[in-house]
Amino acid sequence: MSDESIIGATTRIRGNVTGSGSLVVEGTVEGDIAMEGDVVLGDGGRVRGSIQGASLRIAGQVAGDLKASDSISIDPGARVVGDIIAARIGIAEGALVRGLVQTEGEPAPRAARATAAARSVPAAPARSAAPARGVASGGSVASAPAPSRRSIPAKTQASPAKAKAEDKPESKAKPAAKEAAPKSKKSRTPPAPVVPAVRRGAQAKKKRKAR
Amino acid sequence: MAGTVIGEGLSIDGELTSDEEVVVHGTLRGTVTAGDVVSVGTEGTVEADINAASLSVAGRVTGNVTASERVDIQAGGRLIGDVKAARLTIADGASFKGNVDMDA
Repeated sequence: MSDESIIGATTRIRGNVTGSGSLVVEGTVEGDIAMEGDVVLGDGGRVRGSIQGASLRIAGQVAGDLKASDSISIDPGARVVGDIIAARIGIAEGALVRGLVQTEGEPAPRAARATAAARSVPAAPARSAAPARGVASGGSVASAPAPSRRSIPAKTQASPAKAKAEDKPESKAKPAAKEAAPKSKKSRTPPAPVVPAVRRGAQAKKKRKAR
Repeated sequence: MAGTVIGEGLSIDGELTSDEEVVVHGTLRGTVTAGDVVSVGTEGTVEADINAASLSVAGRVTGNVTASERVDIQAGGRLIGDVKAARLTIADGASFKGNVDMDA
């Protein structure tokens, strides 16, 4: 019981928080949190710094990296700007995530991720629209909780795909850009020959004629 | 339920401000500013200047204390630092070292 810590809604901590137990953050922490137990960030909670723990549940706002030895779940309405690394990651519909999402630890999800990545490549342009769509659907989640709950497992399945989709376009885009760059240079290499508007000596001829 | 609980395994390095009750069973270093009661449990350790409405010490506190209402040092509690508060009680069995200013 006393191993469980709570940072209340009106509490603000500027500094680092470390410990062995579990932690619930309803207030504000400006600094890093490193726990051996679970960390719950309530929907009013804000953290500007990294969070580390056995498993994390995020419903509030985080500007920093999340790392868990077991799992991370991002609830609807949460806002995460930073990298997310854990063996199991769940991102609910209506959550906003900006950063690298990486599942590591278990081989099974890794294989699933590879196939998901291959599938997700054509869907890459949808990535930029994803946060907006998430926010928009956030409103509907409140009015219709049942379908959203059903969609959560599907989303957790899809989340590695989304994760890959997020870093895939970057890695894909770079070589593509490299390819494109020399190509465009090649097309430019034979520069248009400088043809004088008036042929050499033409003006002299004109002058001579005029005379 | 108390607003903020620093559990036994938890340690905070830095600045803590709160408008609600703060209960410390763990370790806190830095400064504490609270609009309500700050209580330090028997296992709690605070190495910080404390500014609060009132303070109750059953653990160890090292730092200067300013309380708008009262400071209670309970039996087994330990406070090293200056105290500025309208009321101060020191229970039998408590240890205290510092100056007291009750002129507020």
